[in-house]
Amino acid sequence: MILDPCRRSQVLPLPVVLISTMSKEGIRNAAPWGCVTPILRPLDEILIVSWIERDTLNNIRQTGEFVVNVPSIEMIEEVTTCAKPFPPQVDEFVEGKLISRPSTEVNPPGIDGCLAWMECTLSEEILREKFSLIIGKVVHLEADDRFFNEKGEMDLARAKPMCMIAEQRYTYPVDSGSSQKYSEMFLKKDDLARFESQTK
Amino acid sequence: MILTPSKREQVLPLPVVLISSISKDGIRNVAPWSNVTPILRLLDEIVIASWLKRDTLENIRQTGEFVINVPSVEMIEAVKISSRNYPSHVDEFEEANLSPHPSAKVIPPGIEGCIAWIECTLSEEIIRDKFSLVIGKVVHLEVNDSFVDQSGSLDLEKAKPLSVLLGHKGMRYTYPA
Repeated sequence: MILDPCRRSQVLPLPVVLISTMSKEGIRNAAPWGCVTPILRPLDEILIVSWIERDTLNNIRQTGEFVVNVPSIEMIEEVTTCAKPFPPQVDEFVEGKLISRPSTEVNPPGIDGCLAWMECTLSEEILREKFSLIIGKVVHLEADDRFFNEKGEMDLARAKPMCMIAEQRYTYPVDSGSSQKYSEMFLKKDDLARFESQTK
Repeated sequence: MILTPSKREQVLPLPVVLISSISKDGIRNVAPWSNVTPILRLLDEIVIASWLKRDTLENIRQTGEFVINVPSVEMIEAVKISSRNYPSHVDEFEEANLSPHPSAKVIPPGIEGCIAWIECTLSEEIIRDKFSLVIGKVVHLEVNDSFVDQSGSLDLEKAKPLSVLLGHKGMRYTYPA
C-alpha cells in the first residue's frame, strides 16, 4: 500500500526522550522528543530536529545548554502532560509534576525518575526554512544504577525505555533473543582475501 | 553512575533500518543503520548520520538516491550479514541472500520482505570533520500489505519492526512490545 511520505515516522520505532531546558529568565521547560539520534557510536554528539518555533529551541539558543532525559514507560503520564502546548512563561516541571534533578555540568536540571541523563552543550545549529538541526555535545552522562550494569548496559526488562511507533503509540522494546558482537561486523582476513581476489 | 559521554548510544532504544543503495557501476549495497530520524512528524524528509568513508555514502553521492527499508525481527540474520565490511565491489544483496523489491521512484531497489520501503532522493549533505548528515526527501513510501490494516497503520502483532539496544561489546536486537 502506498502512503503519504509524511507517514514515514509511523513505520519506524523511535526513541522518546524528554528534553529539559531553562530560559534566560530561569523558567524551566520539559518537552517530549522523538526526532533524536546519536551521531555515530564512538563519538560524543547527539542530533535533535526541532520546529523553528519551540520554547526548547529558544532556550537552547539563549543558554547553549539542555538535558536529554530518557524516560521509562512508567512515566507515560508525565510525558503526555509535557506534550501539551504550554505558553513559554509556564514552568513545565510544575505542570508535569516533574521533580528536578540537579545537573553536574550544565544549568538546566534533569528530570528525576528517568533512566539516564545526557547533559549537553550546543555545538551547532543548522537552520533551514522549516526546521532546525541542533547538534549537542554530551558533556556529562549519567545512568540510574538500578537499571544499568557497571559497563553502562541497560537491563531492558526492568528499565522499559519509552519508544514510539505507529500513530504515536507509546511502548517499550523487548528482547528478541538475538544479539551480535561488534567484532562480528568485521570480515575475517581469509574472507577479505577471497573477495579481493574476485576483482582480479 | 557516571558513564563516558560516548556511551550515550547505550541508554536509548534505537531503530534499525537497512539502507539500500547502488553505485554508479550498478553494484548493490545494503547496510544496517541506527543513526536515523525523521525530520519532524508532519514533513517529508529524513536524516541519517554517516561516517565519511562508507559505501552507502559514496553511492548516495554518486546517484542521489537511496531506500530506507524497515526490516522485521524475522530478518535479523540478513541484517547481521549486511553489517559486515564487504569490499565495495561486492553485491550485498547476494551475500545476505536478499531479494530486491522494485522501487517506484528511484533506481536502487528496496529489500523484499521488509515492513516498509522509504524511497529517498538526496536533499542535502552537511559535512563535518568526522561525520556527514545526509538529508533525504521521501519521494515514495510503501508499506507491506501483510503488516498493515486498511488505513495503512502498522499491525504490531504482525509487524515487529526491528530495533536495537547497544551495549559495551555488542548489541541486542529488540522490537516494540
